[in-house]
Amino acid sequence: MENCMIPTAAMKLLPSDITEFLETINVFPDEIRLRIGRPVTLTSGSKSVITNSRPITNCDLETVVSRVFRNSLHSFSEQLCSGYMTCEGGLRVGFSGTASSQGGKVENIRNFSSVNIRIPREIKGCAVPIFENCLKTSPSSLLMCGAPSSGKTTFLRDLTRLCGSLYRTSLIDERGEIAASSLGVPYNDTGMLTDIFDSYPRKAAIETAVRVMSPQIIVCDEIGSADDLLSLEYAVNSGVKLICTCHCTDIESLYRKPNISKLLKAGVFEHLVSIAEHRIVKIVPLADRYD
Amino acid sequence: MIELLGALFLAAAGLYTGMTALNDLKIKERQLKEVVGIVERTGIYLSSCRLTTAEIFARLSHENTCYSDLFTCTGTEPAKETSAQMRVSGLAYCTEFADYLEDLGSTDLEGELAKNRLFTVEAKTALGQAEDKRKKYSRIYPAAGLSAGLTAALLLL
Repeated sequence: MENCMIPTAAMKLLPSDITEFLETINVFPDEIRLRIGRPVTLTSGSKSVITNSRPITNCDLETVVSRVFRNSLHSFSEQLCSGYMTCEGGLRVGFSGTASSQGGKVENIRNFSSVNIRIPREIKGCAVPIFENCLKTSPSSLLMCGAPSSGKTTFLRDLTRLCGSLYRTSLIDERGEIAASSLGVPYNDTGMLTDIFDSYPRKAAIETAVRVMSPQIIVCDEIGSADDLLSLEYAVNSGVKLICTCHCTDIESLYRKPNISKLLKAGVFEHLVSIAEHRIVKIVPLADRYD
Repeated sequence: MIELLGALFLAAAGLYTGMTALNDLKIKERQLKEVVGIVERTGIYLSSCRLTTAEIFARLSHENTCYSDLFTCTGTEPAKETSAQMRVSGLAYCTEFADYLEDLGSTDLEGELAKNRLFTVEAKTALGQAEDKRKKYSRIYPAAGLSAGLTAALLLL
């Protein structure tokens, strides 16, 4: 395991023979994908590597899912229905299978067919240019946008660490991806002044944070729903600055997202940051844009 | 004189055997009461506290019951580990209890609560049967033991 490029936390989830096989692979993956009847696939950046492992069986997937949910599906019903679970070490494990649904809402999942273990990357210092530009002198609100897997969460994690070293920061970690808390202890460095609201529903977390933690900055990942709109406006009206991310390929298309567009027009954000392929594409001060 | 002593010894041995058989029934009944208590508390831990399987077992291992030690687990698969220990424990209802525990955590909350209710009913039925049996044999076993002992003593004399 010493030279293995896959974190131990991820290895612990896999069947032992697959673990032994992956130890021999010389790839530093972002994702480990298991699909029933097919060999293990590793994703690194935009490349997918199909390994020559044995085909994954139904039993393998059941083992992985059982370990992901700590042999306690009953304790994680919401996560089961939402299709992902955050595990030790900040791993985000997504899965697909056959859903039982009622009224358009997933009530249970059985016959798991695919599992995707996403390995988080904590890159300290990657968000320094954003921090220096927008937040060094005083708290300010900013929105980071980028396509899925562009690295938004990595930048947000580092920005939280930087803000949390200077300002009272409340991190709304709905999916447990940013702090990767286990038993209340964050696995990632989120800064000395950061309070973490782990796995809270976002609306409740923002309202609680404003009421009880008097934050200078609230950090949220992947905003965009109508509920977010109300709670974020509530936070801003309470004098709190926001650092958020949202899925969007570029800054222009942000204005085509109805809820985000409302927040932008209301002047909630002072800076927009565009992220692509794990790089900062541009930082736009919104005052300039309105001019 | 020796024959009289031997006869007395045989009668006492018969009575002792009868009392031991009755005591076994009492122990089984007490253990079944503990099983019912454990399963009912598991139901509470599942529904109110939403504890994970490992957390439930950790709580049960700190209780003062015959089964507590079996809930101490060190591995990553507590349900299987505890179930295996339970199966070879020799305690009352251990096979059925092991089957229930082996499956704990494999379904969502609704499923676990349904399984818990079903197992509680089964354990309570077994407890009821054990109580009836103990009541039925509470006089019979000592009397039968004593009678057998006396008969053997008379035959000896």
